[in-house]
Amino acid sequence: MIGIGSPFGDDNVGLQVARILAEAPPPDCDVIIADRPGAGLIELLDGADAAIVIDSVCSGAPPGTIHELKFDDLRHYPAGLVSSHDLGLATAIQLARALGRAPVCGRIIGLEIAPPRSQPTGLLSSHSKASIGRLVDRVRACAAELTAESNV
Amino acid sequence: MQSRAKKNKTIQINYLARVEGECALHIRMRDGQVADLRLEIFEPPRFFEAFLRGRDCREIPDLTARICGICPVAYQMSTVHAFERSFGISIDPAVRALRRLYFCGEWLESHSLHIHMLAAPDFLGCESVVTMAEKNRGAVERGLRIKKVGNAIVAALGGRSVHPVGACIGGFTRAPSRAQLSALREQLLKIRDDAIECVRWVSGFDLPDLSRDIEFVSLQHPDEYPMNEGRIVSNRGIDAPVDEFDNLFEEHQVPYSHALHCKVKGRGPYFLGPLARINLNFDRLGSDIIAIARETGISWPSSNPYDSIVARALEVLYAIDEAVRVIDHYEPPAAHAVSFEPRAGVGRAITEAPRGSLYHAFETDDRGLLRSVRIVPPTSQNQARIEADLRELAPELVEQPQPVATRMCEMAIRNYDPCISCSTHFLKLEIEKL
Repeated sequence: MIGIGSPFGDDNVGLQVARILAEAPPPDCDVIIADRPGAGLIELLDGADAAIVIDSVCSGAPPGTIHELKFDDLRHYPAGLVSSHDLGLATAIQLARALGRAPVCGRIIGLEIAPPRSQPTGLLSSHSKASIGRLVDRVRACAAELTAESNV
Repeated sequence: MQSRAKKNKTIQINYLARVEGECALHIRMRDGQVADLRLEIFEPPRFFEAFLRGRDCREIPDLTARICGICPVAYQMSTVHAFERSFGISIDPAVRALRRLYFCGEWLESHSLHIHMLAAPDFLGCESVVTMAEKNRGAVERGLRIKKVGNAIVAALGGRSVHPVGACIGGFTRAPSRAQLSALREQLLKIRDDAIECVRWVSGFDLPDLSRDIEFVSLQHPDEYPMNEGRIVSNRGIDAPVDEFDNLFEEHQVPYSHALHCKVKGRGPYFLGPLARINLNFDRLGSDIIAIARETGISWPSSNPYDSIVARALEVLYAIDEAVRVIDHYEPPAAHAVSFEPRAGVGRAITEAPRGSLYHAFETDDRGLLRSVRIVPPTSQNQARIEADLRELAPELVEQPQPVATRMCEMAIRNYDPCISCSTHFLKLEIEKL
């Protein structure tokens, strides 16, 4: 389980969820608080039987919506959009898959946040704060499902 | 009528991919001539120069480092050098060597990413690094290996590989042990063959020739390949101390870009970055790398911007060798940082970011609070030169279908590995036929 984000505002959601999960990780699971790993995500995924990446999402859905994507769903994402600062999340996962270094069972669980510029930095919004518990539960349920799948 | 239509064209790229940041390109051709060409940087300005005013000098290295996610080391270094020059601080030679190692880490991270993830797909006809990985897995793995070692160096000195915090005025917040650096040495030696292979790989690409009469500018040090010290030199006679920056270059605003353009006073655009550094400092690469550079088939100095990818690969090799050299000679400094008292004055410094010379100037009061700030990033300085290259390329674009024209423009821009968010971000192309 890999939490991704930055220390600022609602972008911190993935890291906060990972910290809570790290206190009592599900059986056979490692929790990684990864900040913004860029291409480093490829190494973090390498060798895992299954992976869940937790991040905040801006898609235009109502804030607080929980999204769940399979890694495979990223096939249609335009990989050409790469920042020179580093690889974005979708490109890093796609590249890990192309290099054979990503687990077959992979999910991205994301919490919809309000567009960052409408929030003060450093604090979670009330929407996000209220969603943390639900998000932790969703990741735990997904971990149980993936653990069962990868043990088959 | 048909021939006239062929000579008139508008190319509009509304968002340029595989560069850092947000900008667009608009080209309007009339009768086969460029009627209008604008590299439009619409990344919002961040007002660093304004909000740093009034802050304590000790806070600044960690703040300027946030200007860029991939060249924070250069931002920290230009900052600390500027203050150290202003306050009359002499740093320990071991700290000076560690700063070169810090630069090596950043060049490895940035150059390996640009070569393998951003630029190479263009030359191999791939849409992205993901499709390139399907055909050329080994090359992508090689790029990731090199980048990983760069990250490890930056993390060793900066505390973490992303947004490092280790540098401070007078030195570092801590100095690594010999054992810590020895572990890095082993990793560096493992990627040296990768770096040589990378030089051969990129020099085998079908690089277009856009050789032009270009003014190249970089730092030059009497006996080192330039990183954090030296004089400003060019192939057209500039040879001046860093303090002369404002007498040599002028910034000016263009209405369509949030980043200021720069020119050599009385002349015009100039070219910063790996190709400029190699052209002006070839003899400082060392005999091994000079021999490998000559094997590329490029006649150095090169005035072809497309040779930048080869220059970048040669700098990867240089950074590996230089990092090993620093580690081999390393004795931990007596103090990780020297103490200092701020003074009223002005400090200026240039260091060589991966993309080229990065100028900082700070004026402080006697408490070390900032009265004024100037930050002139390399991408900002390269903008006018990028536009000049696109003007040269434009007549060839008219006959091309839009996707080909767009790709050609993006490749020309990527020669400079632009970091748009530093300069204020990348590319929407619009070619308008009249």
